[in-house]
Amino acid sequence: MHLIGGAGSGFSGYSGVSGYSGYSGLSGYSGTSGLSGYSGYSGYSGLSGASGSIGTSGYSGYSGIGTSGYSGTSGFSGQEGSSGYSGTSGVSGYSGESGYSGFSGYSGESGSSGYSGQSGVSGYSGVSGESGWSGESGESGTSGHSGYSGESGTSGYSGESGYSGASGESGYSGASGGSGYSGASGVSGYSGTSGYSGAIANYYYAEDLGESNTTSSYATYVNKLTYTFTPTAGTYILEWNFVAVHSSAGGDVWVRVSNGTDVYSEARINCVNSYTNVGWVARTGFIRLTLAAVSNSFYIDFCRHSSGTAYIKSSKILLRRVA
Amino acid sequence: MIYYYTKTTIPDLDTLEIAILNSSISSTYEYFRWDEGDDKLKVHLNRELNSSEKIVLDGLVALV
Repeated sequence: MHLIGGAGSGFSGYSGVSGYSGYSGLSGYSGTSGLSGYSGYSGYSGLSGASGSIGTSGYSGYSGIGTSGYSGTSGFSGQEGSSGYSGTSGVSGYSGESGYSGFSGYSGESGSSGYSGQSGVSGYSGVSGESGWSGESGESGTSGHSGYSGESGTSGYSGESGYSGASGESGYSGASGGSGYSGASGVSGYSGTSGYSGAIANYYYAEDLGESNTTSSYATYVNKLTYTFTPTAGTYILEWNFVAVHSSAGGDVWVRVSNGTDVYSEARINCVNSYTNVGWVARTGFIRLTLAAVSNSFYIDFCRHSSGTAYIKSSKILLRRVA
Repeated sequence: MIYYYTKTTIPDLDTLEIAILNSSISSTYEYFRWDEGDDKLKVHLNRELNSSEKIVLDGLVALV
């Protein structure tokens, strides 16, 4: 049973069959006491009924059927206060000889009680009559509904009993105990950073940020960057970039990207500004490739057109697997 | 044939090219290449130089 607890609230609970829910007398709501009732002396329903609230509450209800009787002075339904959750109590509340209802049935501190829960077959009061029960203890205190104490069964004489304790701790009906906050089950869900989904995100790259120059003329390319690897077979995006410049304003640099056989990009790049005047020209590109799981090489080569010196730097090759 | 010279700064290949094309070994010249990082000037020639020719080349490279 999960409830969100809460002070000052709720249903004080059903004490189950437990006996007494406390001192009916001053207690709160005695409620419908089920079979309980007979308290030995019978008749007298004790102070119950006169229930009402110790606290602010209370509906006394009636204390059971028929013969119930004397509740003795029992039935204290506890003081106000903030009761706890009685939960499902077991067989609580044996009263022994006396009508003492023991702690059973207790509605806890009804006051701002919580749920009393079902108390099971508690409440045997021993010798005495069949009473015992205080019934629904009601809303004593400021609480909510104290709940029904259940059928007291054969409990008997409540005698003097009934005192369910000066509430507070009393009435603990078994294992019920504090319901606690069952509530939020924590931060479920978030499965963390899923991140890359495996091999699809594989990437490979090579770079040479250094500067190179040559007087080699077109079409005698010299190699600037080579990247060789054996991929997992699949579809890849090959990307490249570099910057180039010529020693003279207006001079031309050739740059070629290839795998040694297939040329993915080859361009004659006219450089408006000279190397001396920092006339670097950037170029990037990409192509989709389907690669087999064999050794593959990719190259960035460069040369001048026919005169002067060609420069290149910041050369990079990147392969990303996309399928 | 490639001759290697250590050059820790980028050489002026334009100047060097003019010099070699105006030298006695101009017929052997193909191109120069230099790379930052290995700091080597590579002189690509179409043949091996004899000792006197090598002296000429060394002198030219020393200029840049």
